[in-house]
Amino acid sequence: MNTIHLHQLLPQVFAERTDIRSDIWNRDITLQRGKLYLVEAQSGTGKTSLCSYLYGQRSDYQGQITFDDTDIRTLTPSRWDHLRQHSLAILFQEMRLFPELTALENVQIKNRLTHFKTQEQIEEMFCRLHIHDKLNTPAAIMSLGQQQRVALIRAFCQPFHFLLADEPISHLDEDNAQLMAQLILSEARAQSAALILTSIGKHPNLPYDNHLRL
Amino acid sequence: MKTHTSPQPLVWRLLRAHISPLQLAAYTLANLVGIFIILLAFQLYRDLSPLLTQPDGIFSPQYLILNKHLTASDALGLGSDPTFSQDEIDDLRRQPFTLRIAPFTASRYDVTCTLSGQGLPPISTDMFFESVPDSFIDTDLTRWHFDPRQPVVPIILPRSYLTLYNFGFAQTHALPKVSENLATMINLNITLRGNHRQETLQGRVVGFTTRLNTILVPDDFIQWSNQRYTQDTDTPRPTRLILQTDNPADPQLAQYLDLHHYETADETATTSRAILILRLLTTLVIAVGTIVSLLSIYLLILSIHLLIQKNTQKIQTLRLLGHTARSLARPYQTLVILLNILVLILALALLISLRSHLLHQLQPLFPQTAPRSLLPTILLALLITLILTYINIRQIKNKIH
Repeated sequence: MNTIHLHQLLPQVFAERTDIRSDIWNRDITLQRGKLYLVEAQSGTGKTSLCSYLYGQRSDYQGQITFDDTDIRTLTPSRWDHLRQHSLAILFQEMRLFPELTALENVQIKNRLTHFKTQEQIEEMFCRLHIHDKLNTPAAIMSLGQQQRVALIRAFCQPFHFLLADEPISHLDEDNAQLMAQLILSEARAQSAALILTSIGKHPNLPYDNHLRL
Repeated sequence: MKTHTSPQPLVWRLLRAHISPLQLAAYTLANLVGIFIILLAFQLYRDLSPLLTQPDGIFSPQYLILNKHLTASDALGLGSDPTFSQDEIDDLRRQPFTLRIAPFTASRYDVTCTLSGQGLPPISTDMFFESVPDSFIDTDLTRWHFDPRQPVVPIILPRSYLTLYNFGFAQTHALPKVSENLATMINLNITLRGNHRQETLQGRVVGFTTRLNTILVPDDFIQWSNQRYTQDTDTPRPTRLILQTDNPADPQLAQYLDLHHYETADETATTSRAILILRLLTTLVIAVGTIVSLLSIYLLILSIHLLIQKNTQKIQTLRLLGHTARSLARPYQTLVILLNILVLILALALLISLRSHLLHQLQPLFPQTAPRSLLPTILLALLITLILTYINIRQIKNKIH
């Protein structure tokens, strides 16, 4: 997957609004593989909706989204399964870890599906993000900042062409945010992937190709 | 540190949360009861119906045995003659429902039968013989003849005699029960007296009938013995006739018999009533079993629905992580498949043990029948399990998407 086109995309809830001034809604834009996009938004402007549309979770929008010229409304569930295993990675804003599983198991539940990373590589990422001591800690008793880092490692356990990161550092301090930014960049570069990172102000310092205001 | 385990257990650890062993046990039990009832009814119907419909082996159902209706005054010798006159026989012969008709020929001398052998006490009784033409007997005719040079008398006994012995006499006197097979191996000593002679011959039971309350011997034996042990050459008028008809249920026949006060052993009617009742009961029991099964399916459907409902969030997240709907449905499907197989095995095991117990109880009543095969019942059980499992699997598939 090399491009994502957004054609006159608009959440249905905004359909009646006339005051929309956005770089994304109601425009035609193309997101290219390999580039870094920062989507800056005020809360309530549809940032999470955008991620949900792109990840196939929701389709309450007007306009059209295409992946390499394929309208994503036409994708079958099994096609989505394939995309979520091979092309699209996501870091959910709400993390979506399984509280009853340990940090490592939360990562393995993805990696055993894709067999993309080795155990060593996974542990190395835990090390880089300074949560190596939490490998066997249940997610339920981890702090939000720690959970955010586990969720990121999980997102990396697959090949991807686009990485959606919905407020990835909202729960992190400056130092950890920087470590995370480095890891995101190296993983994205390693796969020649695009990064679509949303933020409501606080965002990691990366060489973005494009700033989009939602 | 945890290392490699297969991915399924991790997913299963998530999905099995909220599984209630109590609900599963309730389903298993309910389903077991339902399927067991269905299978038992089916198998018992199969086991019992041949006992009722079974051809007699001696007389086909086309043969009716006729006698005149006896009243109290007849017993005192005041009433009408209980014998059939030649005119009456001829009249019967002319009826459209009659294919063939023949009188019974009775022995006209004294007979004493002594039983001996295999651990039985010597039993001796007076009795009499009757015969019908050989062509009316549906049995192996090579054993149904009498040769004065090798005098062994083949005998057909009413089945009720054996039942009477087994359940009346043997039971109270702590004697061994005698199966039909065994009965054919017992030696009978038959002493014939008349015309200043007394001779003892060997007798052998060759079969049993439920259609006739008399002791039947071959016609050629009766002819021979009546000549030998009586001087009287007149044959007395018969008291019983055997009649072959193409349709025993012919209303004309029933009317004729009523009109002339003739009676017939109403075997066929009783049997068809018994069959009807058996069929009705079986249907009823199968219906109850089906309802119980349906309720148990409903219970499982509800349980699974609840289970999946409670795990919706996790299933959704797993779907978003790229787990296919099929792979998430599979553990639940495996669970119901295993449960249903467990139910199948338990139901069949219960059925087989209960049935062998029942057959053991029934065996003396119907010693001549081999038990019917269990295969159709096993196939039915498999079919029910397959249908059930299919419904369950579909339901799970529809819930996880």
